[in-house]
Amino acid sequence: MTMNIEMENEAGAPEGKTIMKRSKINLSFSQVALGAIALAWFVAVIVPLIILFVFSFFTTEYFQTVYTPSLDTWTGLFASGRFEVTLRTLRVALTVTMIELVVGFPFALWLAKSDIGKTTRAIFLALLTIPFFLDLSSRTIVWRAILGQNGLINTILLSTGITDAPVEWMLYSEFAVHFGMIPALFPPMVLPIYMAISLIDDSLIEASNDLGATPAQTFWRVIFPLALPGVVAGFVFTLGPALAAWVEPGMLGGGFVNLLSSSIESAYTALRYPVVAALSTFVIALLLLLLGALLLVLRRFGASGLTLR
Amino acid sequence: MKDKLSTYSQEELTRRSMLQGLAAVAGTMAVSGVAGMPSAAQAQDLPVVRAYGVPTAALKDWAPMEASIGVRCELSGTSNDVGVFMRDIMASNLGETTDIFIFESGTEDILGPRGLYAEIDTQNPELTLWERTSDDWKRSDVVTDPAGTQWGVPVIGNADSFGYFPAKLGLEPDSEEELSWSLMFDDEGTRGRVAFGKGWAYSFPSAALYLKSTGAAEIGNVADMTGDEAKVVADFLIERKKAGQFRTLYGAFEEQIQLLTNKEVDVINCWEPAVREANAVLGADATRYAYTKEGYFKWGHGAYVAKQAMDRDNVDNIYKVLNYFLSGEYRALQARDRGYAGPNMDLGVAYAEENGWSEEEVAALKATEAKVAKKFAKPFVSTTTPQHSADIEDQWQRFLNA
Amino acid sequence: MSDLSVLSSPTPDTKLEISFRPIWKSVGKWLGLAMLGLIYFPLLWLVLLSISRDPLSGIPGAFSLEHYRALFASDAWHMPMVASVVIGLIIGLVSAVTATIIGRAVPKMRRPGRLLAMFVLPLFVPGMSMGAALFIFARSVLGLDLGFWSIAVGHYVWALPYALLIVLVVTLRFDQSLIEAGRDLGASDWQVFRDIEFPILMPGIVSAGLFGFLMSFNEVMRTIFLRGTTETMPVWNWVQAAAQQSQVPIIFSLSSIILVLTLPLLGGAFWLLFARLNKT
Repeated sequence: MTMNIEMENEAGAPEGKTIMKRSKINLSFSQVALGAIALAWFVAVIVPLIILFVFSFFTTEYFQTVYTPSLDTWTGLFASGRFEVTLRTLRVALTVTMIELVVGFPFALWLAKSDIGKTTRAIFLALLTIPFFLDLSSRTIVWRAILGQNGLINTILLSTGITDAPVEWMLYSEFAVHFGMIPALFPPMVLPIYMAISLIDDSLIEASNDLGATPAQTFWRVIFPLALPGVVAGFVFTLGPALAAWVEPGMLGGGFVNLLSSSIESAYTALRYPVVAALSTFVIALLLLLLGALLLVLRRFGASGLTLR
Repeated sequence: MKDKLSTYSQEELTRRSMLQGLAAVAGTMAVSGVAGMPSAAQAQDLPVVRAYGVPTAALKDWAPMEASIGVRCELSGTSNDVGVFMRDIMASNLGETTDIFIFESGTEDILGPRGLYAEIDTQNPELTLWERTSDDWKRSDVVTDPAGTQWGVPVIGNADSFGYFPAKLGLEPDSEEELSWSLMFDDEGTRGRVAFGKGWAYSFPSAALYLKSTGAAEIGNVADMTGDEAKVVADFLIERKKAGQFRTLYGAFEEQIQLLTNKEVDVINCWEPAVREANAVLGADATRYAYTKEGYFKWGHGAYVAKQAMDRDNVDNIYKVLNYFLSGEYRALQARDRGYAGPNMDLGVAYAEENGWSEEEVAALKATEAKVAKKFAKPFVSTTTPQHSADIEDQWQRFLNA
Repeated sequence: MSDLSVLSSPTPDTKLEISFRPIWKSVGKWLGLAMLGLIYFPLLWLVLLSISRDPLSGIPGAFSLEHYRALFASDAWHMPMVASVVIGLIIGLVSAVTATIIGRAVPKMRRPGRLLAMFVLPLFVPGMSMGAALFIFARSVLGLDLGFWSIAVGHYVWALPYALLIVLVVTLRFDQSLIEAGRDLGASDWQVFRDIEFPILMPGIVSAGLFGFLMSFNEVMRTIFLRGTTETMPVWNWVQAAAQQSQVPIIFSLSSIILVLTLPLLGGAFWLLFARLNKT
């Protein structure tokens, strides 16, 4: 089966060249369009981010940006301990993402490859997509009534005599923030993995079985490598929003879990663009380092399905 | 007193009204899909004043104002985030399209001198109620800058303290006794049962006020601390946080209501309407809004005129709206719907009496008047724009991160 | 030719027994179902709250339709709703089209890494940072007036990476030799795309459009910076929260209605996409 993957790739490369050669004859619509999109994207994304980075070297005084280059904002970020926000945010976001992956992968596998009917599958996919339509705050607010001191769970615990004092750590704690984020970020992990797995040809799996591979071998040699693009996509889809989490820490963290978005929001109430810029730069840099490391590991792992070469 | 729930319950739900609603949405979608989303087409010919600001100042229904002064007010809402508000005015040139801005005190100190607000023309013939408005309101820090320039017209205001459960604190439910802010910060009986707002602008000054009054810290202006003063207060708050004083640091208005109605906390430095909402569920006087020994977070909303608006031909209408904010009708409606006070409370009472409001409602208006008079005698006036905002914000983040 | 089967999620009649341990199958199933339970429990609770008299206490009870009445009596949310739907549709469409163009080109490139990194970068930029960056660029640097167009740009920048990655999941698997075959048979570029590529890539493209719509529909952090004075649905909710007169009960009702409307709609859409069309 590894052979099959190799074949796919080998087929891709030379074929690609010939296609490019041909397209030169009539510089195709797609190429022009791609160029235009890339250019527009550069202007709309990269340029603003560079400008934001530059802003981190200014300062704010009485709601006005002082355009004198200085390192004050950066030194202030570390002197006041504010940079801890970024580390905490990364820790929470990565924890949530890993939990999603552990739960989401087997579920996606089940959804894609077990013999449930088409209709059932369609319903599950719809169930995974619908939450995106609904206001996150009104969904999250509900947990407070359930996890609180006089909430549903504590009422049950107290009335059944399992505990004799209300459990306090369920709400307004890091636990609560994780708990709130996990259901919210489940669909973005499952959907891409599902998609990747459902694209795996069943005959590959059958062939693997026929050749006497153990289930574990089939999984690690066939299913997982082929699902890897989906896993990476799911990882990224989950990590991105997790890093920017704002609603859940705000509503369930009780102010004790100060994450990036709240800190940026707070800086913004004093119109401190430079602080916003420095915090953003710091977290993006940390994240890119992390992803770089991840990609290196994956490449070692032999992730030939990944074209991020 | 009436609250919004009872207003709603006067209406009848019929299947027809629901269908009408659906049809209206479908209709608007169809129209705007074709016409590229114009603003809601209204069939009225009334002159329009465009406002931008916090919807707290908005009437639940502008119809009474339209009937009274023949001007329609279109309010584009924003949240009470001063950063967003100032950005929109300074950086987005809102003055080109907007006539008046409505926001909490503080912005006029910056936007006035920088030429974004127009000075109020107190002689404008439409501003008929200016003379009779007391200086306590019209000359307050809310609408003037430190140099004394008149940048705005007062709209509403209140003196904020904290909500509490009298029963849990062993107090009489109808007591008007002045309590200490120590209940928020420093009381063994309330430890772990306190909710504290997590915005620096709203919560930091109250803590500073408490420390100043106990003599634990020397602070000049609690609403505008220096970085060093803020550091002392932050250290105190960090110590209290580690001691478990705060059950939660809340964020939003809904949260205030929920914390009270669920009895998740006993004390919370919240907005007064939250107490009203909680009592609507828990019963009258289940929660109370405190009179305090040390003082209050006194705030006001002002209406400020965009500089550019003075060159347009809408000035008369703008001043009609400004004058309306000083009038009895606006006063009475705001006090009834939110419990907030404002200039010329006496006119509000007169309006209610003339328009056949129930005795209960009139009594409530008078009570609001008396309450605010009592509270406004104490310090301090808040601002959303302290001089040392950057340092204060840094110290607050230290508290949040601790 | 095996890759042609890219489309067919396994049909129940093949009775395929996949060789991963049965225990993992049931673990995956039950963990996932538990997670769906965690997603839908608050939603059902929300529906109950929306028909309660005092929803802010968080405990359903004393049922009443008064908040629905208030919702339909008010027209304040109509325009924000329309704005959100229209912007969402535009973003969904544009994302799907551009993601397809990029997604088709990537497998043919020899070193797409840098280009891809550029396109997915916004995924790693927190919403408020991206909003602030775009705001500074559009206002302070270019001096443009903000409005629907800038909201759309902000949403597009957020939605495209998702759409692109979804399309890439299908295009990276696409067997390029099919195109060769098509050309050898004398098909034009457009014919190749329409008759060979599109049918195979379609689930990805449609999913990309759907994701584009969804990412836009609920976006608030970037919109706050880029809206000028226009309002989308989430921004309207955000503003109401500051009104000191709670509108949350109305928002509960609105969410409930959207839930009830989208459930059958999306169920049908997915059924069409993944079940019915696969037969052909």
